[in-house]
Amino acid sequence: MKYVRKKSNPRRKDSLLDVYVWFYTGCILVIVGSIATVIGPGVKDPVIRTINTEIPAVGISMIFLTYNHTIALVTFIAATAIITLILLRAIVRLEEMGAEL
Amino acid sequence: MYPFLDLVNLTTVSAGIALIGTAGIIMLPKPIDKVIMLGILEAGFIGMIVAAKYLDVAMAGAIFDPISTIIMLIAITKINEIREKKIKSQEEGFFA
Repeated sequence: MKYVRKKSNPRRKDSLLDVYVWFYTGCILVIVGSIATVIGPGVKDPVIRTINTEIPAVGISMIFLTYNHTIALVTFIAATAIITLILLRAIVRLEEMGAEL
Repeated sequence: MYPFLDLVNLTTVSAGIALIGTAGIIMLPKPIDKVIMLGILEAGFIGMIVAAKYLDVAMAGAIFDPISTIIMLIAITKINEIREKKIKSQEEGFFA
């Protein structure tokens, strides 16, 4: 009995479950991270807001992973690192100049 | 026999780690704690990529994520120094 069930659909349920776990975790991360970036705790500080921005980036990467968009995934990971560099550099520079952030 | 043991695979454990990291980033107030929890979130994400068997993408992610963490740590220490200097110069009566 167990052998027959294993032969009829060897990995089908597991792989579908995997895809749904990726997609729903990505959706949760995008929505919750976006709300936390707008009205999260301590978000007056621009550094904290920039770190909160990383959560929707990871969520969108998980949605790319669900649809097998590999090159978009690699490009988005690299672009997120470079955007973080530029944003934090700009924030430090403005704080150094004493601007109202 | 144990149906919930089917849930213990790399995808589900990575999703749990990513959700724990998300909750930590949102709840913890200090930036250093946020950077540590961001490390946990990225660890869950890389586990999820490995569960999808895209090992080359996992390699690229494993290279780019510590770069982002190092940039954040440098920015946090620098902005902390600037704010301390500002507070000190205000206490001494100078304008920053």
